[in-house]
Amino acid sequence: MVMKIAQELRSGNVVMIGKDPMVVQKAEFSKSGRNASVVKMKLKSLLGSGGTEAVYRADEKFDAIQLDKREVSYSYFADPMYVFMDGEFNQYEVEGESMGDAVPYLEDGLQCELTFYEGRAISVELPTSVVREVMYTEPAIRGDTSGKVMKPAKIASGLEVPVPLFVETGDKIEIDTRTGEYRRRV
Amino acid sequence: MPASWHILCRVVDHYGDAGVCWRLARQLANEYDLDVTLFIDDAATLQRLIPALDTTQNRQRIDNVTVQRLTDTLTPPSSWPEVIVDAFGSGLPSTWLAALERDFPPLTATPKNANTPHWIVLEYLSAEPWIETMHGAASPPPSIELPRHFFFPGFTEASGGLLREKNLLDERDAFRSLEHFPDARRAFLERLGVEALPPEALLVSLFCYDTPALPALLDAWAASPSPIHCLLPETVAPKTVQQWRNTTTTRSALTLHTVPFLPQADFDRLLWCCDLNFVRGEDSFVRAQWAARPFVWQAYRQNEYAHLAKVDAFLQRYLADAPDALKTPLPDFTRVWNDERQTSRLADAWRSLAVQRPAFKKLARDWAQQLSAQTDLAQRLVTFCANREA
Repeated sequence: MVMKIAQELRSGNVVMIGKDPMVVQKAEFSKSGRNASVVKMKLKSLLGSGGTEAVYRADEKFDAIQLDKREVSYSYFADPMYVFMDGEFNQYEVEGESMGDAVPYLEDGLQCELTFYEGRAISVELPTSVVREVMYTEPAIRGDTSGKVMKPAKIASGLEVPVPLFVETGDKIEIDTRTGEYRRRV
Repeated sequence: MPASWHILCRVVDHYGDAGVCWRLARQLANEYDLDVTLFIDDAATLQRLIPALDTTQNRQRIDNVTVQRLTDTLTPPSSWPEVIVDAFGSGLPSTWLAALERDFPPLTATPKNANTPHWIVLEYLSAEPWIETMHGAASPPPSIELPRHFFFPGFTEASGGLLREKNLLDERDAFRSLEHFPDARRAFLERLGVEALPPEALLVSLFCYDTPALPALLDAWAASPSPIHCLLPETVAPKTVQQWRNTTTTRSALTLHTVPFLPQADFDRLLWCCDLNFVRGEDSFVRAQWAARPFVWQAYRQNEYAHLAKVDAFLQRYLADAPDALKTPLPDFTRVWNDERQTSRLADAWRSLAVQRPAFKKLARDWAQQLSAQTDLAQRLVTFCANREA
């Protein structure tokens, strides 16, 4: 086990809370007062079925459990499981609720990393950014090229991403998978 | 036997930490009949707020509150209180943490009983909407089997509310009653050494952090078309003020009055007396709202100007039902005051705000009225902890 503070925890990390190993499914940071931060975490016990939300100061210390990780690519969805495959054609199934915010970014062959606890895949880590085609957005408006005014753009998964006004249907855009934000037109 | 509450306060800087904790401690003891101990690591700061405090004593009792010195080697209590309030999340002494780990280890099923304290992390006040999703949230300590929750003060029913003593608004209204106010105000100000105010003068209190914008504000007031008398607590940016004023107390329209640092009750009266209050941080910010007088807030400055989001979040709530005349000048001036990069715009922003006094007065009254319809922080905290016990 290694010691980590709350602000270092990411989706897929496993920490001990009480007597339970808990996987972090989501972590949101907010600036509190006096340069302090608080972290709201969505946690799931690896031993039971329960999930919970909890809030911590960003400097709260946790014992983090080192887990096995494996490079895989996404294959297909076999309701209710998401199926991934490694370089030796081994298949791994991941429950939907362990997928965190990854689902809208999935596409066949997407390279990602699975995290295992006692042989079970418990989370998926995406590349920090992905390139996706805009399936629909309102027509581009001339005049505003500042990139400050945004409009929604839908990608194939149905996810809507705020994009600058100059982005058009059919454009390929880079999206930050950690925040869901538009980065640039590719 | 009254329930026992421990409030732990580490003073980071200034007076807000001690001010908030002392108010809460006193209110819990006197309005809820709780056995309250305030542990504080900086007795000298608290003593500015409570002149009767003896800083040489490790433990003493004042106004029905036990005040005890907080150190990181403080001996844990022989029996745990019902509630531990970890003010501003600055943490428990390491000796206490070790004792809690011993008494409430995570690997055994500890029966919840009267000896299991409820650990409350009392956070900073914020108007940001996200606090509502975190207020009351569980925060199980990683290595201690103990209930711990976050408690966020705020401006809405979905937050932890604001500190407000039961009699505060009645006392304010009595002080400001029409037949009483002129004499009460004169007597109070004379006690501070402020005499013979011209009737047309704008009386302003200025309780702020030192900022490059301060000389620009004083310049703008000096250039005012009508007289401004500014009451400046002696602890406020003394070097900056001294440099600006040199040997004079009056420059053009502005007269500066340095007033002593005031205990909390007198600071309230100061706010009640003034036409406009400049306040800062958390404690004086809240008191200015209960004063129901126009005020300008200076937030605690944060890295990367993170405090500006807090200023904007407050302004959004404060101005939601404001007269249209204020919807531009008040946020504009407040942002400039909180962002030294915009100091060159301060004089213009002040002039735009200064002409909106009637609308500003109405807003301050309406806002205080609106807030007073909500329960206060102490009541919400007591209820929150009682519900957990039930």
